[in-house]
Amino acid sequence: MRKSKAFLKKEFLHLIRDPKSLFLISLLPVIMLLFYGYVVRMDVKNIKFGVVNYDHSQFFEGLVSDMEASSYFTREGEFPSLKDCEKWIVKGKVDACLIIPSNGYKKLLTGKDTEVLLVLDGSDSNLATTVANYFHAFLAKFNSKHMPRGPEFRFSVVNFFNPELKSSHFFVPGLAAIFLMMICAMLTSITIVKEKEIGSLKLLRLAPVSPFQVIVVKLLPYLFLAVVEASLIIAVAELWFRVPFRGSLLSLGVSIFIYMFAGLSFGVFLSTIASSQAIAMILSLVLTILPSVLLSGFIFPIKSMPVLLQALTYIIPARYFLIIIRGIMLMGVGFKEIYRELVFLMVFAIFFFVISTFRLKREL
Amino acid sequence: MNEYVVEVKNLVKKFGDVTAVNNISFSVMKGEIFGIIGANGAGKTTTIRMLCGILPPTSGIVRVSGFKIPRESHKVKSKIGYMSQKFSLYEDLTALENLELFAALYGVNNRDFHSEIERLNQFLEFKPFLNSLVSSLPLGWKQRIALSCALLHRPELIFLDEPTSGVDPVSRRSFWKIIRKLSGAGQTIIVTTHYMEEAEYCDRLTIMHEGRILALDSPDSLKTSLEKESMEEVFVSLVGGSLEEV
Amino acid sequence: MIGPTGFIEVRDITKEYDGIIALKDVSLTLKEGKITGVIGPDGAGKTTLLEIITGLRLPDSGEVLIAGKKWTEDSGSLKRNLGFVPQDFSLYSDLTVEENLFFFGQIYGQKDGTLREKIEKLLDIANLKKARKRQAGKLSGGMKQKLMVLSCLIHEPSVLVLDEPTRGVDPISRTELWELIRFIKEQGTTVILSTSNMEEVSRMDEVVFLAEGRVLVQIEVQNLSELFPFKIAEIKTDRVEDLIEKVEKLKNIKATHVVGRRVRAYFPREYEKKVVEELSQIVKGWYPVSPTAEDVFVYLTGGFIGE
Repeated sequence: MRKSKAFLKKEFLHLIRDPKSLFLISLLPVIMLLFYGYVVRMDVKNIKFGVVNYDHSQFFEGLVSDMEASSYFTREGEFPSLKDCEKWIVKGKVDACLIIPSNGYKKLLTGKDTEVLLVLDGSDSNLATTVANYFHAFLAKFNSKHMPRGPEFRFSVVNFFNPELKSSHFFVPGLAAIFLMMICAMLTSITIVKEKEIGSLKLLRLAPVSPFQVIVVKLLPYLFLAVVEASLIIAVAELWFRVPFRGSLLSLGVSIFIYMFAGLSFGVFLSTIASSQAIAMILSLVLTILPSVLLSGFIFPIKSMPVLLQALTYIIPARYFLIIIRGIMLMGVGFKEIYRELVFLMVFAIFFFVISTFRLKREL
Repeated sequence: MNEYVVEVKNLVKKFGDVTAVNNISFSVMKGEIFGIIGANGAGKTTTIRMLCGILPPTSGIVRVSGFKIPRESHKVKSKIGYMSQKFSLYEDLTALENLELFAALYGVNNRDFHSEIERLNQFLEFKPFLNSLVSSLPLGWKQRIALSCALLHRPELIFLDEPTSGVDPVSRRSFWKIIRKLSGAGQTIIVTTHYMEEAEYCDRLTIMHEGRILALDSPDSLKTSLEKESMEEVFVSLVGGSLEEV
Repeated sequence: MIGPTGFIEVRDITKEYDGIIALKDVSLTLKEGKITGVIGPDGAGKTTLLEIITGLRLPDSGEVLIAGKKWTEDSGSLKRNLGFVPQDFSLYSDLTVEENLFFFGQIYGQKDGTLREKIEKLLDIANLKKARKRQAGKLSGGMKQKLMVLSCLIHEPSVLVLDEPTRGVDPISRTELWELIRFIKEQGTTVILSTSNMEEVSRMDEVVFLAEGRVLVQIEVQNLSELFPFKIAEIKTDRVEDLIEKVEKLKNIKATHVVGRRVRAYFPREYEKKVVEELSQIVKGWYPVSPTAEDVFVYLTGGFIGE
């Protein structure tokens, strides 16, 4: 009893003597709760949609403005044909497209049900499902308000790029993005911290080699390893999960290469912060997986986050790579559609590469 | 007069195929400063762990404070104290808090604790530092507090593991002065080290190598019999003879 | 390359970490081709001093000149001429002895052919030829220690700096390591090393005693005992406590120190006659001994005043 008391007292003293940790530990859950509370939301607002109106009647204008009034939908524009609408979806400018058949109004007047078509971006199957549900609810309300006993609007859904809305088609490329980032960051951070631990980093600093050289030779083998890793992941995605592949292998290869460079650079940066291999490992896990899962749009739609968090997503490489990999694999886009994302990843990679070089220079 | 606190006969410890301690025998008298000297892997630590009763011997007889090991190992624990220069105190606690903790762990009651602090203070003169955080103390004082923690429960036998490596010479000398006083008062002390300057302070010592005892005598007799100037040369000539670099 | 005053000049170095002084006004002049030891307890500032000399750390104030060159001006050529064995250095344990040496040679831009020859020579000197294909992690402690030194020697530096190379090393390995260091010195290399072990002083040419960030003294080892103002009488006894009591009663004995069963009594030179008389009354045999490096260090840090 007395011994337990002594131990208990000791543990409390440890806590009190380290106020920084105490503060962190007691506040961390609250911060996490607030953070997750905002991120983990499945409701979507501001679904951007386009309209292809083959009917041209006033009546359907009313339907569209009712949609806009619901605050869930925002009209982005009208397109002359389905082909143009598809282009906008590929570019990511609209999430959905409403196709109104010709003679739709006439059909209603003759007392027949009329069907409209909702075209969705199936490459983001989460979002597609949510949008379809919303539209269903909207239409039900619209029907009961405007046509209490008459003919009904019905709608059918076409999911472009992933017609069966297979979640694996959506998740597998996303997971690939997350795992590649994690592996790259972890590989490099550990290898440099290891040099610190065995004291050889001091020798490297004294040798006539520049920090730039040290980092480059550290990156190369792991870049090679990471490319092998990536090929394996893509192979599993293709051959096992049967994710379609509509784009070019070249554009995917180049994109993956740049993305990995970003991950490896970030890893080098982490190694300049971490003092032991264990810390490097934890840092690379926490700082790659968490943001990649939460803030990349992988599971939780970026649209539904508060503005501040949305802004934060712009510095998450996985956000960009997700657009790229889904674009290439599911939509078959080429460099023209993804060059902005690639440029960002390149900037991210070079930024951390340069910072690490400077930090390593001062490192002991 | 010849009261033995430790008696070891034909002690053997095997880990699988590896013989860590190979048939060693020695005795330590009450009040003696006894050294177990050897390189890393010579079998020092294994021997100490068996003397403390935390590692059962493969064969042989071990008696500590009259208790047979391993049969009465649990009784031995309260008879021994242990101090290592490395990691023995909690840096974020004060000296007094460290002492209180060790007192509680060894079941020293409050009244005894205060009289014990007084008694130890006569040797160690740590009172001015009791309320300082250990992390803020100079190495020499940390060492005294660590020693006090090991002595609080009045152990019959105390183990010192490389007690003064890296400590400044002034602190080292006063530390060994304290050890000598304790030994004069009947406290039995076993020192393990591979620092020869610490070996010199022992009354008698064994030099261990690859689980065996190569020599057992006082530092002076060893030097005289081997015609060497220093303990370092004694060690090198004894161990070097049986050493083979593979 | 040799300057008129000293090969390595350390001028008024001061260094603080978070307000704690690691080095204060340290000035040294180190000679070329000698073994200089920086000696002091843990926390004296040894590592900081060596890392400032090697250019790994920048001092808050003061400067270091090696062969007349400053780190801030000509780090390229200084780097090529310097070898450093850090205290926490532990090699690439998954690479073999040879692979380690190759790597450290190659980062100094050495050609494979000449490198192979040098490695051959070094392995021979350090008696590591048989272990060349073994992974560094599987070497014995002493062999590892030697390999670390070789790794920092492969580019043939003119200055070799070692931070506590004998820490935690058993006497056999220590002796071997010192043989290697002596060999390096004989090749004309300037060696600077640190240790907390006072016994190693006898193996050095010059010592720098460091305590609490300050230089107590810099002196040639052969002159060390001149610093010590006392004479020492050593008495062997089986009854240490009784003897101490008697000796300490003598008026002219400044201090005593017991090592094992030998009592050492310290007294000022000028009282030698009196002390000899007094001692002969209480003990049968005693003999004079010269001060150890530890004696000098204790004296310089004020250890005899309090006794």
